[in-house]
Amino acid sequence: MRGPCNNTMAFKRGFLGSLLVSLQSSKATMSLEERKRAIKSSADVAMATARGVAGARWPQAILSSSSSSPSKMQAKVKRCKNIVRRCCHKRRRDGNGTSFFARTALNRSTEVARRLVKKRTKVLRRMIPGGELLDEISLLHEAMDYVVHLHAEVDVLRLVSKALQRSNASSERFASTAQLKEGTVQVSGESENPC
Amino acid sequence: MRHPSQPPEVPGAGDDIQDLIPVASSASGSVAWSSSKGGEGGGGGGGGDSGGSFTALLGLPTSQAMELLLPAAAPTFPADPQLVDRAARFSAFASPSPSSPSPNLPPPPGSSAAAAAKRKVDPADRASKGKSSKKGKTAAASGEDKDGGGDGEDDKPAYVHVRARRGQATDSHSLAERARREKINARMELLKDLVPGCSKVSGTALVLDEIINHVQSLQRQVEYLSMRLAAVNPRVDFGGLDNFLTTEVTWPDMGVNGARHLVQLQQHFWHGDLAHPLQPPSQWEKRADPHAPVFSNSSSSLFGYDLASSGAQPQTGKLKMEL
Repeated sequence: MRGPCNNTMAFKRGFLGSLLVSLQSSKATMSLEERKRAIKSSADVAMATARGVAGARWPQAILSSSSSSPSKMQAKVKRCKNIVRRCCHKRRRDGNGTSFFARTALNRSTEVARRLVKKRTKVLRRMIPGGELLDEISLLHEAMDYVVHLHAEVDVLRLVSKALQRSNASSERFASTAQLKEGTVQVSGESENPC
Repeated sequence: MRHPSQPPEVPGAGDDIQDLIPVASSASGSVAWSSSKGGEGGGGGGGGDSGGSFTALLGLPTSQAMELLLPAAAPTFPADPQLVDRAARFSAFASPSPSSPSPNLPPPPGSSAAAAAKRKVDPADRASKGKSSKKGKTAAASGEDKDGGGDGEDDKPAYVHVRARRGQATDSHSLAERARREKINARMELLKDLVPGCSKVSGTALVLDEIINHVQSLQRQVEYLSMRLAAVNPRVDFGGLDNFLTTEVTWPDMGVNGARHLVQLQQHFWHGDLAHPLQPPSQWEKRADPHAPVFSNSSSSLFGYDLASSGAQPQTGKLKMEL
């Protein structure tokens, strides 16, 4: 199907590196929910940083949404986002209202089709990070980019979880042998240093 | 990659690919008449160079992706090498095939001057071409002025030229709409290849449906996998896993070489571990969590599983002997 590509491997390696860093820094005191959320957000950030901000919009969107900021800044950022969103909606509505095809559409079917497409592009906008501000064409472009990187991310996560599970399983096997070794070490230590 | 061997029949070919270049970088609402030349260098070059341009990730051969991007009509393909280069940059193949477009690239002012000269040649030629391309879609919206006039506009790089097909309205709105629709259709084709199970579906709405489902399923998979990682996490120490996991990621691709590499790493780890055999027991006692294995154990077990059982046993034998 798709041959192995250098860019994919580079992205996967970068993603894996960032993921491991964030995993190492996770504390043991968090509950499962918190941990899952932390892992997911760290995976997103790792993906965004591995991708680089160069050819697409979504990495920047992820990074800006996850960067920590004091509460005042966060409120301001949210307000700015709402304003931008409203502007984009208005621009789109105005543009579409006076579009050429809206005036000349004779078929009901085309109207229905267009409405469906519009609904779905709205949904797609919500799903892709940073998609709210994009027009249709760049939205599709972003979607392509995002899907490819999601594929890579899922592969890497699957590999990591498989490796960890196996390490856990076999380390549990080793744990029993490790206790035996511990016993032998203590015994040998005592034999070497008679008190 | 397609060679620019055909004579450039259609004038102004160099400009028209610009409308296919992602306007995302310029982020402008209006499509057809926006000055896309400025956006081209930034969007195309930036997308190509940094690791992870999506079409490079696709691993598609250059010609196949370009066929998808520039629908059909090989005979009328404006074989301007500059056009080819820009198309390649749009599809972001700069990294895997940097060499192939660049030798074909003539100096841009030279080609645009040649194109401008040819533009003045044949209005009659244009009319006949319009008729002949009635059934076929002309690739890349080859350069044709809207009303057959306005030679003065030709030299301005800001305008996108779209061919007016026979029997279709030729005013600016419809042409803009058509250019936009062609762009959207081109990208839908690429998306169809990305998303499995989309090739049978026809129609924008259904394809979008499939894409949305696919993205949702991918996001849900990420959540599920992160939950699994979270469940596994508390019991495993991540200290020694870095090197191992990086080799493991390359493992599916590297085959025999990966095995050798893995063996080397494993030996390195073993020597490092055996250097201080007495430290692990103290770590075990200090650790509050009784289930947490020491990193030496975890790394040995990770190596063990990969090289089948034959690897695991000699290592445990070694450990027992040392202790």
